Parts: sequence; C-alpha cells; structure tokens
Amino acid sequence: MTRKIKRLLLWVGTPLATFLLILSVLFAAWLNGTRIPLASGATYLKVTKTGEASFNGEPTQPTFILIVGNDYRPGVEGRRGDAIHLIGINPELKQGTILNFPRDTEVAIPGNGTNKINAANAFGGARLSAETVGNLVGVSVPYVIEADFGQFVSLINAIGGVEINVTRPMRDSNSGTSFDPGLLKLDGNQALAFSRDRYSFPSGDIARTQNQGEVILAGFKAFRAGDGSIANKFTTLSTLMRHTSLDGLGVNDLFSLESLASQIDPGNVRNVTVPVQNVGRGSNLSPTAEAQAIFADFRDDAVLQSR
Amino acid sequence: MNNTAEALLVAYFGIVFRRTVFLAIVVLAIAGCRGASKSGSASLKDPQVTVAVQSAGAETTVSQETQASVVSTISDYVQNGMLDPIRTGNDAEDLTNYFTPDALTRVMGDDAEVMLDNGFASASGKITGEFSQFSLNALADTQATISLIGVELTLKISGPTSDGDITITREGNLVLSPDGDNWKIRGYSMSVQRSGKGVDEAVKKAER
Repeated sequence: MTRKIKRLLLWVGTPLATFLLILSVLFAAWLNGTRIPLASGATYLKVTKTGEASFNGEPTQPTFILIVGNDYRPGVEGRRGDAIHLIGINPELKQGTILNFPRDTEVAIPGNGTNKINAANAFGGARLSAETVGNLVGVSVPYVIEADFGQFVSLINAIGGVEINVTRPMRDSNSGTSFDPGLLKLDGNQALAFSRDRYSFPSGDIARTQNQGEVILAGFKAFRAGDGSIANKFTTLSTLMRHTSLDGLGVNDLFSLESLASQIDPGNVRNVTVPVQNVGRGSNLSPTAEAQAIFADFRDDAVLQSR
Repeated sequence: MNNTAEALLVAYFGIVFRRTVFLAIVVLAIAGCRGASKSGSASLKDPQVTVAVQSAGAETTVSQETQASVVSTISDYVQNGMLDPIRTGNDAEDLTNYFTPDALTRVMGDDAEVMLDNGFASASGKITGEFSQFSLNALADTQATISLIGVELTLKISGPTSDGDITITREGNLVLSPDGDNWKIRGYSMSVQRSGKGVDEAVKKAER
C-alpha cells in the first residue's frame, strides 16, 4: 500500500470512526434510558399562563384553555394562529366543549383594530390570542397551549399517533392527504395533513377547522390512555416537562391541568365549529347570530345545553 | 367505760374507717379504669414506604426528611380525620396543618363523606389503622427539584364501636406539595367502602 493511499484512508477513516463512536455511545445511552437522546431538547408545546395570574382551577368552576396551532415553519415567519380552539372544561359536570374558530373570522384584536382572528397570535403571541378570543366569547382564558407544525408532528408521534374517523375520501397534494374513509391510526405527519386539508371538503376551511377539533379530541384520548395511577401521571408529566416550554407557570399548574383533563371522558366533550358568514370583504368571515347564542350558552358553564 | 377502753374503741373504729375509705378508693379506681377501657382507643401502624422518582431533569432522590414529613402529614391526617372521630364519636376538627386551603374546603365540605370518618358511634374498644400499601412517587422538575409527591395507598381501619364492629377500606392517592418545611395534601383521588351494622356499604369516591 502506498503512503498516499494510507494517508487518504487515515483522512477519511478518522472522522468517520469518531462519528460512529459518538453515534454508538448516544445509541447505547438511549437504550440504557439515560436522557441524552436526540429528543431530549425538543420542545413539543409551549404553555402560557396569561394575565389571570391568580387563577387556581376550582372543582366547581369551568376552566377555559386556548389551543393555538401557529403556521411557523422554515420560510414562514409570523406565527399566525391558523388553528384556534377554545376548550371549556366543567369539572363538576364532567363535560366539556371545544369551540373551533375558522381562521378567517374577523374580530376586534385589542390594540390592533379589526382583523382576522389568526393575526392576534402574530401581533401579540399567546396572551393577545387569549385576550382576543376571550373578549369574543366573554370568558377569561388563563392558559394557552401553542405548537407549530414541527412541534405538532413530534407531539403526535410522541403519544403514539391518534385514531381518527375519516368520513370521506381525502386526497389533497397541498396538505399531503391520501386517506380512504374509515377509522385510521395517523402518525404525526398524517395528522398534520388531516388537520390542514381544506380542499377535500365542499365547506373548505369550515370542515378543516372541525377536523382540527377531532384531532384535539383524539390527542386527548391518547393522553388519557394510562391507568390513572400517580406513577403513570408523573411519568406523563415529567415527559411533558422535558418537552414543554412553560411561560408563567410551574409544575403545580401542569398538575392542575393534567388533573382537570383526566377527570373528563373525551366522549363527554362536544366538538363545535363556530358558525360564520361571509362579510363581503375578501375571505373575511363574521360570527353569525347563532354563534353569539352559542357563546352565551358556553360562557357560564362551558357546556352547550341548547345544542 | 374507762378512758383506756374508750381510747382503744376510738382507735379501732378509726382504723376500720380508714381501711374502709382506702378500700372504697381502690374499688372506685378499679371501676374507673374498667370504665375507661370501654371508651376505646385508636392507633395507626407505621407504614412500609416504597419510593420512586420521576424527574424531568437529572436523576434525584427523595431525602429521608422529606419522606418523614410526607408520612407525618398523612399519618396525622388519618389520626385526626378518621381514627379520632371514630374513637370519640365527634366530627373531625382542625385539619389545616395537613391540607392546602383549597383542598381543605372540599375535604370539610362536599368530600367529607369520603375523606373523613364522621358520624360513627364512639369506639368501645381498640380501633386500628393499617396501610397495606404506601407507595411514594415523587415528581422532580427540570432542575431536579422535588415539586410534587403522590402517595398511592390502601388503608384499612377496623374495630368495635358502641353500635358494633366496623371496617373501613380506603384506596386511592393523595398528592402533596411543599408548604414551608412541611408537605400538605393538595389533591386526591380516593374511594372508600365501609361495613358494619347500620353502615351504608356503597363505595364512595372523591377526586380533586
């Protein structure tokens, strides 16, 4: 072997060997349960406690949580809230409601005039989103849970996927859907596609918004799949803490939210999309009179008795 | 009767009187002791504690002091909220040292039927409490600080009351958070079943 060939092998082989060594150490550590794995730094969710600083979930009072899916991804800045869902949970009645807001709904955004509801998140993040939706419905929103596209995919994969009942064929190259009707187990990317597809439905964004509510409910079911023991809850919470960015809240708040969620059977949670109508300004929509009646019914106890 | 005979007679009756009084005191004391044993007592056996930790940060352990504080809070709650009401026949009194204010409101109110043992006739013998499970699970945050402790427990209380023997079994968990140097119960998921003469034997549950 010539000296040139030996030098070439050394030049290529040393970094490769080092890389393989690091990879094998990481893999061994991961197998051993040590928390070095690649996912340890990944953030799946951001949970914000809003201005309701003194909020303390009462077992007799409804609690309202805003879920925002923002459209941030590489190449898209601004974090508009393209999926906006207000969850009301009534621990006393053990019922709840998800109100889904079409992203083009025109609303008053405090300090920013009138605009589409998804702009609130881009203007002022989770807190302004909570204030905007809270003002529209007439409730205080103490918590906001937010995820972007990548975080959403990671989260769904982390909980082992979600079961969704697909009600009609969905084939859309924009979102990436290719689903036949039936009960399907979707991984993170498939769930994201299901949540984004508006072209497979005559009602477009309205059906998409309703589907996003279905994904939230399915995630809720997967989240509650444990045996209810404290050991199981703490395992879930420690995993959540590792992958959640907390803004203004701590472990006790997380436990309160987890306890709240664990008390409600997802079968007792209604998934309702806010009725809207075109207002003649581009794609802008406004809540109908029926929507106002829904808000009035919802705000007192988070349950829709009239529907 | 001469003076000597009179003095002997007084001394004799004095001795008899003193012995009678002494005997009466002894008899009364024995009777009192027997009466006291009929009013009953209550005791709780120390639990066998198992410990596990879930940490969002680095691995950590639960100190002996923390374990002792948690055991103390729960044992004192059982003593004051369950055993003493059965022993005395009176409702549980001040439990502020063992619960956070929000939890206490529920325990003393809507959840009292599950969390306390009020309303029994007083004990006529020894009431015993014994944990068959006391599994301490700790949750540490990303800084590896123990922030919450949950205890899965099974507790059996049994013994005689003036209405007959009773048995009470509780299963569930208590969740505690730090409060100064102590730990207080801030949440729970508990079921209770009672049995005995005239006792409602339906399983009851409470969750907070």
